[in-house]
Amino acid sequence: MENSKVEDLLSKINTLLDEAGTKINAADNLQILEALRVEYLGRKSQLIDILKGIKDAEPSQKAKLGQRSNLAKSQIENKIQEKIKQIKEKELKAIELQEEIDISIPPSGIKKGHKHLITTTIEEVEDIFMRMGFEVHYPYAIDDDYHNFESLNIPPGHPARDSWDTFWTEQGKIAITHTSSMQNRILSQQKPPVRAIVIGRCFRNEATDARHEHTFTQVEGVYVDKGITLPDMLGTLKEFFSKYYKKDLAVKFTPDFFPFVEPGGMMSLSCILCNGEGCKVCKQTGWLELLGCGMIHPKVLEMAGIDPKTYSGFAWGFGLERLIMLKNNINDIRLFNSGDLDFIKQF
Amino acid sequence: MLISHKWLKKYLPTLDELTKAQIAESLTTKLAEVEQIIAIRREIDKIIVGEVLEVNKIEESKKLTYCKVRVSDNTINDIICGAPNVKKGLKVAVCMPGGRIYDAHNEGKTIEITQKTMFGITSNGMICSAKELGISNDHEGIMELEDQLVPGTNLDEILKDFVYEIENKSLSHRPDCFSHEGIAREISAILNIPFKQDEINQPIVPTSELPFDLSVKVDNKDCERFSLAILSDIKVIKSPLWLICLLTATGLRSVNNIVDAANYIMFDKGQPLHTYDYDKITSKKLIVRYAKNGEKMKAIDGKEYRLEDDMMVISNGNQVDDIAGIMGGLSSEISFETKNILIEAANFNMYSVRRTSRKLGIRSEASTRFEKGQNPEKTENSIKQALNLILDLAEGEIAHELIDYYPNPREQKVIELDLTLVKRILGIDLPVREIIDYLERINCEILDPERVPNISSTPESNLPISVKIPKFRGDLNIEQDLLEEIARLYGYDKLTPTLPERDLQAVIPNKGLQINRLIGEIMASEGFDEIYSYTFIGKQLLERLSLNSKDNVKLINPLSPELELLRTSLIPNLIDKALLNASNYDEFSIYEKGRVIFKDIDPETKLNIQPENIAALSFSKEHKLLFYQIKTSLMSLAEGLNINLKFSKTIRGRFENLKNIFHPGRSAGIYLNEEIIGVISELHPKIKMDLNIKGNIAYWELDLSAISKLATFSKEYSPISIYQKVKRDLSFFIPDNAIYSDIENSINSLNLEYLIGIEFKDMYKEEGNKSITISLKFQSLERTLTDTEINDQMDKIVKVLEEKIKAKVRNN
Repeated sequence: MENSKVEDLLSKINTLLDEAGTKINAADNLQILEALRVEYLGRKSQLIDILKGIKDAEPSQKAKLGQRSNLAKSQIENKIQEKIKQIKEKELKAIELQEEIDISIPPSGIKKGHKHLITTTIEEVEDIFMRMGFEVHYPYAIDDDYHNFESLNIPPGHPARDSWDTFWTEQGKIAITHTSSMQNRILSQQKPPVRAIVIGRCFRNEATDARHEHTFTQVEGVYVDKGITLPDMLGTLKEFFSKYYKKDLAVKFTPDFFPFVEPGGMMSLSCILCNGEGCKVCKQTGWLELLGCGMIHPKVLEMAGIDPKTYSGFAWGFGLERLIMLKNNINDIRLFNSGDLDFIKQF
Repeated sequence: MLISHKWLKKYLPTLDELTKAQIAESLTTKLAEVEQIIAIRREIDKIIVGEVLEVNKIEESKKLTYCKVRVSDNTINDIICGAPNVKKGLKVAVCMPGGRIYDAHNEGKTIEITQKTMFGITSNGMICSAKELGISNDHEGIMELEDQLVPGTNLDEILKDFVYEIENKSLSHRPDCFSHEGIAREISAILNIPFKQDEINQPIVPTSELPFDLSVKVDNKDCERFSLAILSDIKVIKSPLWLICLLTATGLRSVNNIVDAANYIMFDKGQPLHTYDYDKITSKKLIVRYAKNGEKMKAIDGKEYRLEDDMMVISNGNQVDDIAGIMGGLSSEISFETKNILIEAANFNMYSVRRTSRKLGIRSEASTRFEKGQNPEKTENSIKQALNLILDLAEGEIAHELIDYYPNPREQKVIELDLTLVKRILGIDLPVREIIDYLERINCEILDPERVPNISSTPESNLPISVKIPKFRGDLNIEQDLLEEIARLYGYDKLTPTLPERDLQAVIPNKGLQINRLIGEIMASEGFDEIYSYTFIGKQLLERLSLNSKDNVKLINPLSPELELLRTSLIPNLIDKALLNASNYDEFSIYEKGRVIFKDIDPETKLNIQPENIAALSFSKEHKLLFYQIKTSLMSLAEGLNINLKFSKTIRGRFENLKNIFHPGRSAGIYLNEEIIGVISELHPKIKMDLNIKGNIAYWELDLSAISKLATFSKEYSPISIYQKVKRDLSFFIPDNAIYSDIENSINSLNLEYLIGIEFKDMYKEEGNKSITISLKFQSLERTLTDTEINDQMDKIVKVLEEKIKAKVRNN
């Protein structure tokens, strides 16, 4: 083959290369690029034609043309790939821009309900006492005189009954005034050691205002074993309240009278708000009177079949709402039973 | 209860060596809370006794007079006075210039008295009314003082006082403490200061004679003792200033010297007294008996009371003169004309007095004391003290020896105290000497002191000591009572909290607790907010929901009609709370968990059947179908509790009572093991119309107690097949009366080997036919199923549907 023809072919390859480059550059989508690939690199492309036409060339010419056209092929291929990349990047950019949203818009239809604050507190109280080895029981709503009063050393007609304004049903039963209604059952059903709390709803026949409710939740507890002492009671309750309020609290025991305990009294907690310094909530005393408690009266133990000569124990009862109100800064006890979702949804 | 500091000093001569705050603090920590210390008449100043020597008219004034008043041995002051009752010879209270009195026209304020010149007369001081002295509200005239007072005497000591307000709720076991003597004894024991006894041991010696008879016809346990004294020729007049001041400081009103003396003794000794006008008891006898049903008495409060046969009364034989221990009758009340009197100091049974006082709705100072259980021993000393006081205040003669019914004098109790209990129960190491010291401070006596173990060491042997209990401590009956005395005198504040030693046994949460926790999680994740409502419900709410209240247990003493019944379902209150929130939220879901109460009595517990229920409610402002939405939450709950619920249009049992609020076309009974355990429904359209509810409400309720018996929580693993799952859809028409569950039941009755699931796809009505599409899943544990095998099973399914529910398979 003539060298001039070889030169022609070489310049044609260059022309094709330029031409392809221009077209590739101008392409703005993947379909066009695919067509260009067929046009310049396909089986029927001019480059293939050129290669077909050099069958009679000399080996050195063949090598030169072959090399040149292969180079051209890979250059075109690179250009196409480069261009594909550019187009994809551009398309992604467009999608990114197009799909951009205002991330600050609040979502609709959040589907997460709320447990009542009393329920979550009950769970919290149960968990602390269970960690301390106490079983959990629940009371009946309606109970009899024996369990609510008599078995707790409060005989009928006893003036101590004045402390519990009682709702009576037409069937002669009682809307329980305290969860101590379960004490006799718990103590008779189990051999000491007995560690148990009873959490549930209680009722007192008293007018309702921001601080008083006829319906409230009580946590009563008992601990009976050999060698249980009054300081054990103070320690146990101190431990509970310190865990509930998540700070180390001091406790104070002052005399009071409850027929089912002897000695019996009122336990106060160093004020959780002012840490005992004195504030409005604790009426500047530094103490919050929280619960009645004491050493279980021997008659109560005997009525449950426990020998008071061998065993001793303590019992207490406190209202759950007061605890919550102090912890969560709630100023009206009536909110708990209001059914107001504006309240419920806060916790 | 109000306790006067000045009064206490009668028993505690060294009391003023302590501060009021110390006294209050020691009472609070060792007896009962002192709620406050009230200053009595502390703001007034320079009040002295004056004697009116002359009353002169002032020409220029209609009302005013100017008086010459002796204000000391050698001083006579001119004082202008406007009171109508000022007269020569009167002893009066004068506030000297520079002193202060209460402003009669400005509650709680004081005014300063200054020298004033009017009508040319310089007034040096002011003659005071009872109101200006802070004694009563009387401002009609000046206060007339008793003649015995010496002009010039400073009245500070008589007028002024401090009063301790003691929380008496925690003293209901301490009848002895409802008196100054009792509180004084306590202060003496707590602070270890001397106590001055105040007992009269001499017998009553009559100096005149009036006849009288007493008979007691009630059970001795209802009236253990009845003591009666008679005085003749007394003068009923106003009480002296010192007595008026003590009574008003402790919350009483002064009436006359006789009534005041009786009240004084009650507040002093804790023994209620009753006084009768002797001459008005014409029969000259008193009978203690039970009232007749329907018998009536007009009491000194002016009201007539209808009595019942379990009430004790004191009668003159014709009529009732006194409701025992509670309130006296008007007919024999002491008046300023009374000449001869009867004084009664009795001991009535606490239960009887309390019952009567409750039934009649009378609470008096007397009943408050008797209700606690008074000590019969003290009637005698109290009546003697009263006699002495009345003879002093009203002159008169003792006209009879003491009439005393006391057939069974109380024995003094002895408690055997095991000293080792101090350590075992109180957890404190106390030397024997200290324990005994505390007991002796509360007037206990240690019998057989030689039995007392080594006095200086802590008790080791459980050899008990014998402790003789003073008669006034009826509350001390067992060892534990003495332990409380020892502990409080030692000081509760000295106890160091300890934690009991215990085994490592782990607590098993009860099933109820586990269910509660699970429910809380599931309902919250289903978007339900938990509410609490009252266990009580009103007839009115039930009626608004077209529900009757015949199955609701009634309270006999409800707070209000809205809280009169016990709920038998949680749904009515849920609807009520939903309506409350409907104005604030377009859509919401709420639930409540709690006991419902039925009239039926459980034979085992002898209590009302009172299952723990859970109910859920969804509200939407739109009129959309809510049934399936709320059913989703129910099925999530069933899944969580691992129970298999069935639904049926039949609603039986207790839930049937609610049928008026169930939507007839959108309600179902929920069944577990063939037993109805709940209901699900939309609110009946009629109720929605009645209550004008815009939107829709759906709810369900479940008996958790029943579920709790059947729920196991335990889940077992079923092997997972590695072979292909094949899904086939099937569409067919079913008759109008057939429901979806019929389809599942029919297919399940085949017990097909490879069928592992039936899924509902859709249902719609087309030309009067219900068209339904279900999806069926087949799989084998052993191999890939062939088309033939699946077709075979599909054929069986089609056949059973055609046979059992007349289904017609559609040609797809």
